[in-house]
Amino acid sequence: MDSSGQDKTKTPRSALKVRSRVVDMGLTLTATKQGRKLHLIDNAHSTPTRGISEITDILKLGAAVDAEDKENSSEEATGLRSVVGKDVYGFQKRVQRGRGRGGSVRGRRGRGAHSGRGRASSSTNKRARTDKSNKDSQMFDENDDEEEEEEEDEEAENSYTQTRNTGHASAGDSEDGEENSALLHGMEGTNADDDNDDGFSHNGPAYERYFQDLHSSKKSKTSDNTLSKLPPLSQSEFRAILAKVPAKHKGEMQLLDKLHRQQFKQWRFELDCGFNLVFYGYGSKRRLLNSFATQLAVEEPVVIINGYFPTLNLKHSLEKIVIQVMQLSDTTGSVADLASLIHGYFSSSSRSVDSMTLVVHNIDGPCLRKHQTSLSVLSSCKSIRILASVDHIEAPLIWDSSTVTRFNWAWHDLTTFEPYTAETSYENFSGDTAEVGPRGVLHVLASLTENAKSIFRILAEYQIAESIMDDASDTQKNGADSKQPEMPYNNYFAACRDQFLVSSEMTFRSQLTEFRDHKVIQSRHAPDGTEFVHIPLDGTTLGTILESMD
Amino acid sequence: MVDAYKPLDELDSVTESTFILMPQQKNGRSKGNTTTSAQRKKPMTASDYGYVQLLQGKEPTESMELRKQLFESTWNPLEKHLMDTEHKVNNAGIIEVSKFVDTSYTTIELKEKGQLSRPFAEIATAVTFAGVNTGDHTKLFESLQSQLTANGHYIALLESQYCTTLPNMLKSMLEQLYTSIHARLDLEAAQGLNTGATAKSIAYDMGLLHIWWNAIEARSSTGSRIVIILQDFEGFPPMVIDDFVRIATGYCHTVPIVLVFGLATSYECIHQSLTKSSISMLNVERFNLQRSKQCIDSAIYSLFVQSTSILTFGAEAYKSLMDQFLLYDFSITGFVKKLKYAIMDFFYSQPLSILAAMVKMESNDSCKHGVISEFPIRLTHDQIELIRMQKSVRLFLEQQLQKTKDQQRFRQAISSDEFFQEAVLPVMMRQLASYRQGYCLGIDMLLAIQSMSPESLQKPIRTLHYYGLSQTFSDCMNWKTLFAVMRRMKAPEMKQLLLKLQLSITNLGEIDWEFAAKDSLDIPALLLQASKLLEDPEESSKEDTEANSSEQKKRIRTRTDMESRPFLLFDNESSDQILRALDKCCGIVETILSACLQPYQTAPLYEIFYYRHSFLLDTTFSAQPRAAVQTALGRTEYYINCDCCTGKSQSKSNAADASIAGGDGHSSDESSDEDDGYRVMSSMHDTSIAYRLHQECGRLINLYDWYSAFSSVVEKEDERSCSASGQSEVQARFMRAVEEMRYLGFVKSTQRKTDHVVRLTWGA
Repeated sequence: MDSSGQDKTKTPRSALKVRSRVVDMGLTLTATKQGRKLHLIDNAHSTPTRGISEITDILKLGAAVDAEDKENSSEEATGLRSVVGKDVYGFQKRVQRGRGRGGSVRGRRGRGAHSGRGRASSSTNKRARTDKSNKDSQMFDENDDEEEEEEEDEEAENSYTQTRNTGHASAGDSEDGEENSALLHGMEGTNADDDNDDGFSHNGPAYERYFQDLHSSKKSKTSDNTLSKLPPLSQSEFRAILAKVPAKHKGEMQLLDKLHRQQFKQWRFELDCGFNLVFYGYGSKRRLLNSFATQLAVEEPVVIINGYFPTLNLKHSLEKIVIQVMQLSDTTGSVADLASLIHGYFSSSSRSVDSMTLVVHNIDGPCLRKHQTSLSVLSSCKSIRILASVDHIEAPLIWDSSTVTRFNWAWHDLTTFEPYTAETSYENFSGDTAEVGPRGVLHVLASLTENAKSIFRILAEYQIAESIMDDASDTQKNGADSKQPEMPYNNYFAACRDQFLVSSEMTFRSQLTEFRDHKVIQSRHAPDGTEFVHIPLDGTTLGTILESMD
Repeated sequence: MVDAYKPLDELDSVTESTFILMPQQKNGRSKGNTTTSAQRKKPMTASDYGYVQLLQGKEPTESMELRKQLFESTWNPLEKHLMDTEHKVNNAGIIEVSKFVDTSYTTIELKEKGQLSRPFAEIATAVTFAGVNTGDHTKLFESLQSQLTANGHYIALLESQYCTTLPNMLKSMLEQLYTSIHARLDLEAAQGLNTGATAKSIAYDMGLLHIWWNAIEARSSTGSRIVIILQDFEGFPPMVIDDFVRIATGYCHTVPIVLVFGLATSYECIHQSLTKSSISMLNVERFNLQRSKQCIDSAIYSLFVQSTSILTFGAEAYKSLMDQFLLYDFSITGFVKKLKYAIMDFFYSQPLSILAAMVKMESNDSCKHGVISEFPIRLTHDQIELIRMQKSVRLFLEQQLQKTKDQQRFRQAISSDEFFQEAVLPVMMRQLASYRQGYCLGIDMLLAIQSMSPESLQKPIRTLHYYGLSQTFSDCMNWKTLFAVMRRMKAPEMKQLLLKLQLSITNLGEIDWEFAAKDSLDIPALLLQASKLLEDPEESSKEDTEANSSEQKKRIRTRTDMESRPFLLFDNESSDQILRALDKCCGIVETILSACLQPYQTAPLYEIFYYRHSFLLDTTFSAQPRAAVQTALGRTEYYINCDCCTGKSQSKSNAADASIAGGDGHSSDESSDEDDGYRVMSSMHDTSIAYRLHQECGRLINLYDWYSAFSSVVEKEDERSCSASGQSEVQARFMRAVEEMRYLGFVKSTQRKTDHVVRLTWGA
């Protein structure tokens, strides 16, 4: 049997695909990353028989799904079969199976029916399908030998489900004709859930069990309730609701605001004396700082950088300063180069702009954390004044002693109690991963290979080009939002193949599936059957992402 | 569009992260959407650098202007003085290093033109230990650079942030050397340099350096060196330095390269970061440039003890200043920063800081007898009243009354503003100045005594000054130890000491003895008396009665005497008279010191001129953002003084304490003991509710249970306000609160269990 390296790399993908099928069946996937890790472990321990039975399951399940999905499944099947012949210890696999099952159930929102994911034995699957009709969400938690917990909604009776479930498990085990003894060692309810990637949760030799016990002994006492009990709310719904919620302590907050505003003159004085100001305390400081900054803007240019911005590129911001404030055109070089260029300009005696104020909201923002040295170089210049705000409680840790000396901070408590509307606007309130923001995309890309990134880049560049064309062609952009630029699947594949990024359609498919799992790329079938893929982000954001990928 | 988020205002956008507001006249070039905001802004009040009129706005503008002037005229010389001090202290080390650079390679003769022949390829390297105060290093190495430049060397000062890779490092180095060479040699000589350097895409290579050096040599062989300073050695990637050393070795036969490494940690780190083979190419000599303690000592002596600075620090503020220095990073920059901020605060927010105008003029005129000049402007009634209200001023007036019994004068001082300003205020200011002179004399004398005592008892000036500020004379153990040392002195030593003391008086110049020490002690006369006693012990002892002398004999034999004056047993040479004279001298010195080192609280107007706002300094420079956020969320009343959250009417809200899973008896304890402060109220901010609930949880928090607890708190709000907020509103508010908590860093999401977050902070 062919068990080349290529196949090995493929198996995780196919397993992922199994998962994605499940998702397509109406289950919501909550944490895709976690799912992937889990499957990597699963597949390492899979055996031929297991693999095949899994595939048949998939195929069965796949029947319910559309044609395209079926096609994918069979692809995986070939991928999986190629692993056949690898000898893996049976008892290990068994445990992994239980583990996987728990993980998969937990992995979704449990909004609708349950499926034992590819890993589950056929009997479990049957049951799962019957359960599906009940529309009951179920949790499978296999526990140490005697205890196996299943939770069906709130009214589910624990004692009943326990016995029933144990029955299931043992039935499944005997069906496979393997011993129970080695099975489920150290797989406690929470631990089975607990698919942290430290690898301790494997079953195995005694010394490994030591660590399992070590970890299971401090099992958390939290309940197994999930947010799936609440109705899902979309981002826009959230915003609509929150906009209507009346603010608490309005009068007090106004007073606080007034008191803070009285300090404007003092801040001004301190800035003039050569201190840079940093503001901390609970509540959004954006509004106050912006209004202070607009006051300063009467006399000198003020640059406002929103550090909370998820795809903030400091290089861009500095380039903007060079072009608009200093009115130079040469903006080559790294962030450090630009910083020293700006520093040099504002230290030189022959400058046309005398001084500049830099307002950095959230200087502790994720995109600015690695640029503190450059920012401190800017701040060490006497004619550049910096106003910054920090919100993270451990923010001072981002500065070492030389940076902090260069910044020359004077700290001010600016507790406003204002909601962080702008700052958290890029976060996902609902926890629903139907939408992935630019930050998410960056995150996914960071963990991918160069090839995969280039595959992403091809589509992104295509979309950017298209969107520019769109802008150029139709000036009235009223309904244009609904129609995002899409790329035909075949063209996309051809483009990737031309660049030697993929060798076969199968590799391309699996790569695409990975992107699709992470909601980075979405696909759509046109009425004529052709498949279109696109990244659900607009051209500008894509441009920023591409730049920060370098 | 994926994100349906609507930007809050023109400075927030989904696609744009940077906005530039240009001043109005340049609006044409700035972005369109910024134009509107630029028009809306109000002009700042002119001629006012942020100063405000104090005393509820009743302060006249001219006093405000005066404060501004005074700040500038106080701080600017002070800053210069501090920089000079730092420079002076650092200079010794710098000269050592530059001497090393000058003399390096001198043993090797110049064999032929441009060819230095050396037996080994070793690069002369100065390893300088500059201390942990990395913030000060820039200044230190810059002065080293200017010193070396003055000695005719070519310098490249490299910082690790620009030297992440070898090409970057070479680029940075060669650019600096090029400018340095270019500046030295005239254009004609620099011709050779221009060949490569002006081109845009120049290959930065050590070969260039070789060419340049040949050009320099062709012009003049002055024995200058190429000095490359790595300011923060620890920050450089070890491989980069390693490679650089190897490359430099290849050229050191032709180009005299000297390396200077600046270390902040220890000499060991060179061995840790460089490979053995490259260390063997270095000819290392060590230097210690860490001088920040000496620097701070001399700064404190001149600023606070000798009162160069108008403003001095009270005990508490001084302690915070010193703690920051000694326990944190030995950073002089930090010290100067705090001092500057204190002076800024003094002239910005202390309405009486205008009184400094009187002191300033005195030092300008260098008048004798410390005449305090007239106040330049007439003080308003409010200002005078404020001065009268100071505790020390009242004490001063009462003392005057007791002394002079002049009721008329006393009444006038209280009632007439004019009289107060013209007759009372200068006296008080003069007295304060004299007190500070006396204090300085006291510290000087202590230093003199200390210099003659064993080294283990010697304390730095900063500590002596702290004792002087914080402790009364009789309580201070340190003084007692010093006096014990003094009592063991023999006659010649005592003579020496008295000479030193007299010297310190003459060093101090004119002193108004009336106010310098307590009870107007005539210190010079006392010292004179003491030295007379020593010179002529017999004569003075004549005054003593016989009873006294017999007692003296006995006293030597007593046990207590053995403890307090053990030397008497061994010292047979000194006669009783001498001993008695010594004893008297010690007594005199002690009296003098106790009169000089009065606590500063006895001086008039000390409330104004001894800075007390240590809290302000601490919050401004050692801020604790985490504590502030936690207070805002957990003890909201500190920020919002509202009636609704104090919980007076909330007897029924036990359910509010509904703990989430994992919550134990903790919450019930609190609600019984100090219920009001800890109860979670529906009227609180959402995030505050979520924060308080999360404090009851363990490491993992189940979001759903958290939500349940949250909604049980929030729902009570509806009972009262009768606004039907749906479940989804509660859910949305909860999610927002959790999101904010995540944003602030209190919790983070986890994969360990579905819909759980991990708690990251512990404690209140």
